[in-house]
Amino acid sequence: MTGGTSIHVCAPAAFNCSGRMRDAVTAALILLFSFASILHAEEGELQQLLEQEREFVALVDRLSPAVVCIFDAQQRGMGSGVLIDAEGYGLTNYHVVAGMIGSDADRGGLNDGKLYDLEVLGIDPTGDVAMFRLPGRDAFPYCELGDSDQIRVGDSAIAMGNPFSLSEDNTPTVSRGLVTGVHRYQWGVGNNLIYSDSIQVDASINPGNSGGPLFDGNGMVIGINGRISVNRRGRYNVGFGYAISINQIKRFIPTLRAGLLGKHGTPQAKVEDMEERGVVFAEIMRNASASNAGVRVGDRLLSLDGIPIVSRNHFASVIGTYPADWPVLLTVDRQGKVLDFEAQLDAIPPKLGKPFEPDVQANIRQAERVIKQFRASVLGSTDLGWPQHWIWTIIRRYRSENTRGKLDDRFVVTQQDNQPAYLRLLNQDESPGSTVEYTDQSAKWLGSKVTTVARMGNGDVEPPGDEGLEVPFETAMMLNALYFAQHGLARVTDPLNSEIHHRGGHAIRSNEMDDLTRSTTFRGSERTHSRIVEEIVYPLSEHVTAIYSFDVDTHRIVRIRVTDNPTGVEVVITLSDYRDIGAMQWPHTMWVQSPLGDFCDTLCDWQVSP
Amino acid sequence: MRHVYSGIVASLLAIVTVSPCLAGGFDVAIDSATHRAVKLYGLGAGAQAGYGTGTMVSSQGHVLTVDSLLIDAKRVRVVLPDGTRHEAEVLYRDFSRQLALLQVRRPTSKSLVEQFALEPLGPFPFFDMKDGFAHATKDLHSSANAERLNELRQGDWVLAAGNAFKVAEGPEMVSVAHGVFSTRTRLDARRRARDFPYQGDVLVIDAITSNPGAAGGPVVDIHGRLIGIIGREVISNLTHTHFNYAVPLDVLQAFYADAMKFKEPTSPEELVSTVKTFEKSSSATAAALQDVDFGFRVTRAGYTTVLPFVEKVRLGSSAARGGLKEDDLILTVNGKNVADVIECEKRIADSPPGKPLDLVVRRDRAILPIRVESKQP
Amino acid sequence: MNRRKNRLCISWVTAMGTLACGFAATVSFADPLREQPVLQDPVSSHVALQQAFRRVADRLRPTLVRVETVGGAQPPEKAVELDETVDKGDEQPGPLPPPKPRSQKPFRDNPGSQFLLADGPTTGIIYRSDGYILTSSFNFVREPTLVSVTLSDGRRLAADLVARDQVRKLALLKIDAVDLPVPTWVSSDDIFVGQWTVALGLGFGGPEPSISVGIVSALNRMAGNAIQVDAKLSPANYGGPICDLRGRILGISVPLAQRPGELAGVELYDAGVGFALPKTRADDIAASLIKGESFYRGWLGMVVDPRRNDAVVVGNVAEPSPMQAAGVKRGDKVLSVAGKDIRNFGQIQQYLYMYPAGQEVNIKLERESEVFEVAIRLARAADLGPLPDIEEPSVSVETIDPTDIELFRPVDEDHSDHDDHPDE
Repeated sequence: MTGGTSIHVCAPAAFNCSGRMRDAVTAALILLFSFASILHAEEGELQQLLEQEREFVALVDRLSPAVVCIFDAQQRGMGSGVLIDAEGYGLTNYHVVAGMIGSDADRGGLNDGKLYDLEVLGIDPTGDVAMFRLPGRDAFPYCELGDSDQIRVGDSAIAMGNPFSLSEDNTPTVSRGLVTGVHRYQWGVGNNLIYSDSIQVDASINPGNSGGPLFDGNGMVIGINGRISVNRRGRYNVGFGYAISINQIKRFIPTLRAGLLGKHGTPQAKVEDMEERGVVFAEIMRNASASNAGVRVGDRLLSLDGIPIVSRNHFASVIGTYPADWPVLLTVDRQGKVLDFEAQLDAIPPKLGKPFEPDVQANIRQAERVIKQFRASVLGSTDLGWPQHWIWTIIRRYRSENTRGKLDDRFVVTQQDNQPAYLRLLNQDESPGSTVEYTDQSAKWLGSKVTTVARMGNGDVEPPGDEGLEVPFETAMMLNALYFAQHGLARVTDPLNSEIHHRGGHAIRSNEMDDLTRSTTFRGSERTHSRIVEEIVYPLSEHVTAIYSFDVDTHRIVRIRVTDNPTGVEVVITLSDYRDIGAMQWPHTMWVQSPLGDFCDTLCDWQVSP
Repeated sequence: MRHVYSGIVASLLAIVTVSPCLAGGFDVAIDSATHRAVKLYGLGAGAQAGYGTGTMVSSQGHVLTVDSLLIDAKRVRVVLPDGTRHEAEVLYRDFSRQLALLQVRRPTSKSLVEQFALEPLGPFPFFDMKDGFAHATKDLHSSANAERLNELRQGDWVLAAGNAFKVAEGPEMVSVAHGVFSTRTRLDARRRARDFPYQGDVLVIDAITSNPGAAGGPVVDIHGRLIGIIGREVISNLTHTHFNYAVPLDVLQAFYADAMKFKEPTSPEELVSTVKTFEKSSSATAAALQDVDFGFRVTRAGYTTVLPFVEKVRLGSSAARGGLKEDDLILTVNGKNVADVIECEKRIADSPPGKPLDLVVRRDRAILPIRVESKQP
Repeated sequence: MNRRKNRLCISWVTAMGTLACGFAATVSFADPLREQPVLQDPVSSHVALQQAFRRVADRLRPTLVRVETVGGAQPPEKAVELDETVDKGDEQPGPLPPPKPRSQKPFRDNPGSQFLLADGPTTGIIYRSDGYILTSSFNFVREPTLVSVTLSDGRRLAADLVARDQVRKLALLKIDAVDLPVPTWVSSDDIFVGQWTVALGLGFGGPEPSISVGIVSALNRMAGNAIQVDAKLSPANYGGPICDLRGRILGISVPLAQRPGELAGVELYDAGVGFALPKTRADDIAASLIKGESFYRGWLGMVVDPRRNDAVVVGNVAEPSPMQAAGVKRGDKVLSVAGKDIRNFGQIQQYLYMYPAGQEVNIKLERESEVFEVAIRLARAADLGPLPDIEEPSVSVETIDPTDIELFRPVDEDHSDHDDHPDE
């Protein structure tokens, strides 16, 4: 190229001439002028920037395969999505797939250029989220979910999706920007499409990006893009995109995976901004969540689940992230007194074009998935199998209002080979292992009347009579619950095969089990001790239902609730303090809440012998 | 040899230490801008949003913003960065620069006179109008960086903060937008059908700021230094696009000096009596069309587009002296392109009296500048 | 890789030379780590980046030209300015609805026609040192009488519009000049999604190019013609370069859309969705443009059977037309176009908008359950014959959706029949 050399001085890299010549000229100049070091530093800096650039390119390369272009039956681009596990489950917006529910001709395109069948599972119209599944491949590429509460304004954000359906080969459009706002509340349309806790970004987001992922700088999914502000230009990006925060979505994921309708919770109360800052309850619906909890008009709301509430908008933003039925802690200031109330949130009915049919197959898949994950995490390996023979000895201290100070009584459960458990209360001076006895006095735990439940001597188990033991209703419930607390762990590891026996007023008979296990259902998500749990419902008998709660991250059972449906009486057993026992992990602490009283600080010593 | 070695070391270090996304690079800028941006709520009508943004420019609560219908409101409400709600008085407004200065006051639940008996509000974090540095209420915010700061140059990162779309109502943090400083140019723009009064220099930025409610918010560089405030929503006449720009610091400084010169109210009574609005009708559009004879005539306008060829140049006229010839095609008048005869005549008519007319013409394949002196009135 | 080796090698020579000369000023050279601060703190990384952006602009400036046009008018589309008619700005209350199904009526629904052209300067890139300048055809939609080009050294020259590509929106200018500086283009295979892009333009006036930064958003867009970037592209930089951090050109910025119209794609300005033609494509097109050959929209010369909703079935074939030449008959079912499965008529249009006349496209058809593929060389609209009469009244031309004729007859040549046609 002629002419190139003359400009060389200022632009060594920009012009089209031979590299050798350019470098020669550059070298000559460097020798001639003492600003050599400046150029050198510039070049060094550029190399580092290019290195950073390469890392970013590699990151984009890693994330793109999990971004989905969503097409309807007519193969029109409807929006975007992102896969979140290898089984092909993905997240998108409700408004992207609203027209596809029940259809079987929709497709999801990945950047391998292929189109996969796309099946819409659960929906959350209020939060504008939906779950879909791409079947037809063993292992899909997927993205990991981050923690959107750690995101701050100024953090990098990467948006991917298929704006304006531009993609012809199903590769996503990638745009880069900053997080420009966090915890933004954006009004919805009636009860639908409310962006309660959204992340605002200035990365370019356009129609068609809906449902696509928003990543943080490390490539973790922090939100699902679904909304933009537009000015009078029209429906084009003007630097204001909103993504539903992934932490809100996480609370609904179990429900959505199971093909269920996600509903948001409401305390049925309104707050108003106070003069300079803070909020006060201005309106509370009667016989609803907040009022039942005990909140009154005029109470100043200090915090919601420990989050200090600064404005009405903030309240709407925080409360909008909860699913229905979840418990929330409302801390209020009532004339100078700080009070805590726990409200069980009521459901906000979403508006649906046609009634939503829960996906039964999705539900079964999800129940199986939860059990599989439990087995994998608690047993160490799904292939390990269940020990053939073991003895659990539970020696627990319990405290009950009804025990009237007799704190040191002990309670023993012995069990062998899937045989029924036998319960016994030990007095302090008794040694375990002789007679298993159950003490009852008018449904109270301790008293004068002693009933023998079972007898055990020299390792032989001798059940009581065939009909079982007549015990008061609450006692039976208690027995059932305790039984399931222990046996249930074993049971859920293989729900279809294990046999359940128990004796008692409302105990289960083994011949009922076949029908019952078949009606196991996945219930959705809940929260206990600030952990999100997935719940599986086991009907134990016609009247008694057990709900197992699995921690969504650790997959451990953290709670078992046994309910007598006709009366509503409930025994809640909370399991915690998981520790290694051999290759397995078992809970070592139990908290039992029952109509008979609460066991606190219960210590379990599990002894498992193979 | 050592060079090769060091290159390897450097690249290794880069791999280890640098996150590909450079998270946190804008922290200083975001902190600076968002803590000095205030949300304004006032009068709205039609396309004019009833909300906007202001920039704190003194520790006593002076707020710089754009001149708009918003501040015509009887009560301009202000939400400070800490979430507290107050009211603001309009101290000074400048129509030609499209800027205004407000002062944060206590809420007017009491009478004005009573209010000023109360403790004064503040001090507030602010941008120093002398140099654009961000100050906390007392100490210099970024003095340590002072030496690193150079003149703003093209390609520099910028960060704008504002109340666009009133996304962040109440005490929430205002929205930010990042981009780079694209170029500095004179504003040639309009607001819908009307010409825009301000025709001075602006900083074009590639962050989208042409949004309702954004105008008046601070625009800072990567070190958090004020470089301008977001201008009103306009459409560029050059590109016919919604135009993202900031009114540069030097223009703000001149305005602020004028506002301060005007009069600093001392007592509440005086303030009440002196709060006025000053509108200068210096717009080019307001200037009456004048009939200035430069001594030449272009093709007459017809029903279709007619190019402005010079039809007649009077002998001895200033046009002839300037070298204009018949059949020259006029391309620009006073730096503005003219597409047809109508536009050409309008531009000539708009030419300021007493000033020469600068033309660019095509003659055959040559493009020539021509200056036609104005006939002395 | 070679280049990098060269650089290291030369630098080594440099270092040795420096030591030999014993310049005190370059002693620091012996300890290069000192001048190579590791950009570990994010602010210094950003400062380094902004300096790199600026250096890109400085390097490219001599190769950019300001293009100005005189005369011409808004193209004869309905130039309704959105701004004046829709006076309501502000927030959009609802979330994004799914993108509208692509319009079957590209003419009447053409959002590009809502864009009003301005008359500010535009940008061009010196393509060859002997005076060829590559720019966007967008800059000449007005059919200007005169085009002038201002070089970075201030010389202003009249330019000839040699030829243009209406499909890829590229245009070639020629000025009488020699020894012009020419920029380096990056090979089309060497572009990666995620890399930095610096867009330069001269459309805002002033001597220095405006800078907008972003990343490469995608490759192979618009039927493989373009790369996509999220830098803010607009009339201020259409025709200008999109560069990498080293100051090499990744592509030339052009407004593109999957629908016809000279202004199509402009409505996306500044929306973070912009397109650029990379080297291979630009070179291909420029090679024809230099020969004075312009590109026009390509046509198949067929209408679809409106009675068939389940599939795209040929309703009638113009005589002559590329479809006729390939032996396509009424009743044939279109399965795929250019390797893309076809479900509806809109898709065919969408894929073909980016194919100029003269280009070959493979179409898979089905006739009486026999699948076959034909290669069709698209024709200019002017070369299409009329649609023959069809005996069956139900498939007469009158009953065919007028918008389907759109594929058959170009909107930019004759739009009166579209205007007259009542909305159904």
